Amino acid sequence: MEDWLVLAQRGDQAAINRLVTTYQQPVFHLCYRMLGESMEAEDAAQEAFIKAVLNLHTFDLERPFKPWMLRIASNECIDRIRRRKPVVSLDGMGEDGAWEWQAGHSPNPESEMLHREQQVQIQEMLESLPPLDRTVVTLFYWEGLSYAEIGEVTDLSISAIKSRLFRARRVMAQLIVGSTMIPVHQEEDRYVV
Amino acid sequence: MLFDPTDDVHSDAWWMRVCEDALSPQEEADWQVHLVQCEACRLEWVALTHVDMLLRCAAPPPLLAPDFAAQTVERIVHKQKVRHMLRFVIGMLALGLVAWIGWSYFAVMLAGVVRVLDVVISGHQILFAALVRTLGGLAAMATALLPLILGITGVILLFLTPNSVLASVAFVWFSRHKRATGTTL
Repeated sequence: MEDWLVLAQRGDQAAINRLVTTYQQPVFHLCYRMLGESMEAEDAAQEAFIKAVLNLHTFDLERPFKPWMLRIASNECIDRIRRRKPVVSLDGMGEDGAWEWQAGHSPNPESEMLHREQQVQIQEMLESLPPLDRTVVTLFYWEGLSYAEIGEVTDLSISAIKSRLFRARRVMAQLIVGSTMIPVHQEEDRYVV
Repeated sequence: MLFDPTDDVHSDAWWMRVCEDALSPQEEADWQVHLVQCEACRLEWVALTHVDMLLRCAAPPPLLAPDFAAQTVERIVHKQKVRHMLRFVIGMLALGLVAWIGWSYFAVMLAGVVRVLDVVISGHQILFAALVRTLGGLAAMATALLPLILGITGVILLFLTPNSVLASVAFVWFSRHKRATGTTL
């Protein structure tokens, strides 16, 4: 196990700083996909790091650190989702709900707009999922974790993860199809555990 | 031949195998034929593929604030200090409480022992005084009852002892009565 993790367990500030800088990107990415808003995602990521460091003495050094860290971040995001009303949070939305134009470095405003629309669509799809399914989708598509690693983060079996992933894809597909008013073949909903 | 749910092209098990690209070449060929024939499955497959593409090609999240790590470490250090302070205060309070309870208990216990000793000593004193009073009372009672006792004794002596007056009178009366009736003693 990394020596600096051992130092971080003992409260070494340089080691804690290294822990945060090493895992800040994957933790923030997970929080952003889960919560849909960058300010809240940053706050959630900070809270996750605080909880992780304060409870670092409970971490088993023989196990990989990333799934443990992401698990704390995922639980923090799930708690925040459950505390708030299920609305679609969008970056750049003004108080009156109007979309605010953000000047970017891209010379092509149309592709910027397309990217924006895709972000909105992705966020709408993610918001339609239960928090745990959202975690599984995020970890699979954007964190590049294996089924086993996802299982360590979510405490699910591999078959349950595959089932939830498929179910989540189907829900999101129905959302897309439903918006175009095309009927889709539906199977009886059941989980495989 | 037993029915295998994974062979049913409309089952969740089949669709999961399709999404994981786990079909055999023959199954893949059958699947393509089915998609041509079944509009519902074709539409769902298109939608699932679109979802997969959308998710894989999603734009990366916005950049983190450059001072995120520094701010986070600062918050962590602050929380650690607060936690240590709280632990210290709670520890001192607990120690104070234990000391206070211990002292109170000890003081109460000491006071109890002193009280018991006091009770024992004063109890002896009370008993002695009571004994003296009782004896005095008995003596007083004996003094009050003495004439009665003497009187009763005198009566008994008068009636029962030999040569007593009543005994003699009784004896004489019996003798005369016997003589009068003609019987001898």
